[in-house]
Amino acid sequence: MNSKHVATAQDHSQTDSVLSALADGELPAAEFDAVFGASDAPDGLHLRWQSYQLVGEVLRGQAPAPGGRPASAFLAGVHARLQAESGVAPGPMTVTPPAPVEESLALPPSRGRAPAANDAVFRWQLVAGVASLAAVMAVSWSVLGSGAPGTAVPDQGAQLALVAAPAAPAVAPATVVVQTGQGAVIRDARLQELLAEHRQYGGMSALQMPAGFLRNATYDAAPQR
Amino acid sequence: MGVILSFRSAARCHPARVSARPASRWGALALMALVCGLVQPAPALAEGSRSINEWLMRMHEASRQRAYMGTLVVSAGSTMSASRIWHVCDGVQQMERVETLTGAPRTTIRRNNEVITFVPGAKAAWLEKRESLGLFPELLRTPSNAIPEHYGVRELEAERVAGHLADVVEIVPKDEWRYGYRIWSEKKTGLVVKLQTLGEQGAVLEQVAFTELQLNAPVRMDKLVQLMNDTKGYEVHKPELRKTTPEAEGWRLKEAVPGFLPMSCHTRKVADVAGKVTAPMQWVFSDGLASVSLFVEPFDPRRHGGERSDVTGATQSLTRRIGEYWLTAMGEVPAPTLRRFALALERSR
Repeated sequence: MNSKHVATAQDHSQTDSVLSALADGELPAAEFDAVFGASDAPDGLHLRWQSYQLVGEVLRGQAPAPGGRPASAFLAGVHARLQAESGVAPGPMTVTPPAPVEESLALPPSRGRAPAANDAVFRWQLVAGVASLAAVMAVSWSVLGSGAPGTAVPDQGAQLALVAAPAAPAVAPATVVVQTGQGAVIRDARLQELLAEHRQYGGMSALQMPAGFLRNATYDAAPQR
Repeated sequence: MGVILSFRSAARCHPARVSARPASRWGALALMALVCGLVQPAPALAEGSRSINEWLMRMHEASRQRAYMGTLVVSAGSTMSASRIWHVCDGVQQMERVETLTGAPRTTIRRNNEVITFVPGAKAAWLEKRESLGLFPELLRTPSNAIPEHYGVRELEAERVAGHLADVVEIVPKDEWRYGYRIWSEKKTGLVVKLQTLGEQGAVLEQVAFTELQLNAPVRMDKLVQLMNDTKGYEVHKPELRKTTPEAEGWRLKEAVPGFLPMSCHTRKVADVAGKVTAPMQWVFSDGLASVSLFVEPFDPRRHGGERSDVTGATQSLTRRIGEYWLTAMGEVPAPTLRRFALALERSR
């Protein structure tokens, strides 16, 4: 009993390192085949891979994908719902999850109610819809604010005031203050765009291949076009 | 074994194909230099074992023929950025992956001169061809190129960078129109492991360095290809460039800036914030190491404020109104060089 416990723990840590390598894109093909191709692939491998992706997304500061539930859970949800509603096993559309997947299915606690897996997805879609609408409004607001005809060209003082205004923090303001070695300077978004183009299409240098390209890919702000 | 294999395959790299146009420009330069009697004897500074062209060629080839991965740091002004780098070559093509470790997450993957930049935050990707990447091996192979006329080379004591012993080479400008460079080139392979851009009195304006570097690393090309092609969930933008000439756009330089030759001229479609489409002209000059871009667009009082100049790290910029047009000049050159460009640019019709 005890020894079996230890063996399982070892298996898990080994699987974890394999999953970690896979997530980093560094798992050699031979090893991939050995682990994932084997008929006795470790239990719950699929779930653990899912949680790896989730952890990765959270670490990268991205919201977890709304549909990011294990595919097995989704299939099982559909399966359970169909059975509950019709009481008849679906014909040609029968979804029969493989055995290890079925096992992992026992995990959701609310099995009695068997909610459709895509309930949550729909709620998320609503949330996403509202969020994108809000984003569009925020962008339009800043566009109207900065590009409206008849708006006088702001002088430097006005631009500074613009920077200080807390409007639409998610949207890059037309002008930002940049700290450089020579002290703070005012820099506008247009200048940043041209700077990116200068580096992309104007990097005519013998040092471009050995250093320039890597430098620009590392340093440059993302192209905002 | 794996290491040996990847090294061997890396050594089979062929030179990237290069378009004939830039090469012919450099041919024209050589001719001009001969006609004007500007070709000078070997520079007095070049007392080391290699000429400046040999050094540059060595560095260029090293970056193309090795498989490596490492961590790169860029410091410009008061900002510091870092990225993780993977580089591989399979005998036909070379690929590179740059994953930013600072700022907004961004992945850049390059296959020869084809570049895709993924911005996960915006779920957007930019796919483009960069001519500048395939440009210089041919230039350096031609017997006379412009670089030795404007820069000398000085070899310093070897130093260690990212755990590797490196030759230190200083590229010294021969006049005040350009900056100098100090380059650390890994001793065995020639790979550039550190580079500084030097201003007046040798002040360091900007530097790029590996903090950790694994040479002949087992980087898998098929993995990089897979990553490059996986644009699922991303909106892919393909910026459109339209080749043009300054003559066709109605511009000329009334006086050349010493050593800088026109390299390319194009416009691109850019939608501005108001949804109006503008196409600024980008006219690019280079002296072989430093480059300058002149962007010209119609003057718009709503967007173009007062004339001013700006600097970040080694990059200078200045803006100037020329009649009904607005010039933005940028380049890794001293401010007076940009001013000279700005004053020389005029309408030709």
